[in-house]
Amino acid sequence: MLRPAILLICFLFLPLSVRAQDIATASAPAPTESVARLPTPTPDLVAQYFTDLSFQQNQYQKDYLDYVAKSKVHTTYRTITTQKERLDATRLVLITRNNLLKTYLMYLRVLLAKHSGSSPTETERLQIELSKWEAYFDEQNSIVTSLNNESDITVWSADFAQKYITVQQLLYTTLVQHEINQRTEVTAMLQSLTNQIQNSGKINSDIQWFSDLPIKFDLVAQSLSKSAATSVTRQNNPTRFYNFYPDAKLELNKAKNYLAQIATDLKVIVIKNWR
Amino acid sequence: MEIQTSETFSEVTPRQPVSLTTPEASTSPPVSFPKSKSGIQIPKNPKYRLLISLGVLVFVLLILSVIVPSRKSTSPRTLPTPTLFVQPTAPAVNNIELPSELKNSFTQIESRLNEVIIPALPPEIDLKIGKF
Repeated sequence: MLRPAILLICFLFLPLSVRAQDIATASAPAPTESVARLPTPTPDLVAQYFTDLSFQQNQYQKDYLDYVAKSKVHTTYRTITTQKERLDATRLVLITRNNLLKTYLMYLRVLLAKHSGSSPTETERLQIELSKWEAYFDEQNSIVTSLNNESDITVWSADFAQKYITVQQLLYTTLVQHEINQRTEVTAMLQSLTNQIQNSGKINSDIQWFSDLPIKFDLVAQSLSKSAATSVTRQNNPTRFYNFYPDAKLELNKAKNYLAQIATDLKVIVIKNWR
Repeated sequence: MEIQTSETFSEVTPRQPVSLTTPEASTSPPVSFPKSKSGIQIPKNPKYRLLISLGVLVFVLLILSVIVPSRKSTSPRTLPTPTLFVQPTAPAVNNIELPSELKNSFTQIESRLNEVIIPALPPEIDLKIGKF
């Protein structure tokens, strides 16, 4: 008598659980729908170099792991074969590393051109420097290929480590300059907008807000010059790279905040006083 | 103050049991329960009783199982579909009659301020490679 009753209970509860699942799945939106509606961006040069950079990074990662594995094998067995394998893996990873750095230099050079209008001289100088180092890495690749013994590779690596300090200096200086250029461009846009609003004749130019704006513009200029100065003054030790980028970034962020404040102030002026 | 002892308690006369029935009722014959109006009788057989109680239990559980998930499922039903149908709130500048140049300038500046300037920092490399 009990068995049919239990079966009845099971039978009654089965479709309900299925229906509950249906409700849950029905409420979730289809993910492909939103993706399909997004417009496909047109690829520009910066994006192309960025893709190349990602590829080179993966390649370097792969070759580096191979190099580490081969080194471990040689440390364990110490045979001529393992030594040769390690030498080959080292040459390969050095070439991949050079390619990675060269690609990053190219990427920076293109990125720098994006906002080069605000300080063309300094930008051009950096672009020339970057090009020089690109050629250096190309040249080094042919040298690394010709290195046939471990002692030559050791000498080359030590020399490279020394030169890389200069490369790092250039990389971070370029990054800082690129951000300075971008902020300067925004500053110019805001100044032009301020003039446009003042000269529109639709706003009383005697209001207090306008007198505050030059102070904030000065603060932006101050922060930008401070960030530029960090890349020049902090390199005291020629044998070791000092990463000045965090300090410069701090000033750059300050400048960004001032710019955002100016934009908000202008908005408030327009909203409150536009006739 | 005098404390009551057990003797004082013993002095109290015990209560007589009170009969709820009247003297006339006690004499009358025992009353049998009348049948319900719908005519349902609870069977005396324990197997049938068990079956009926199980049926009632199932019925109650069935009602509960209908009520509880419907309450739970109300929140996802009422939630709006994310991002697709969300209309961005228009900035206040757009509500004023401004020349299109000014409006464009504000939009451009905002987008410039929010753009990602440096998407990739210098790659981290191992400088010890090749130092045997």
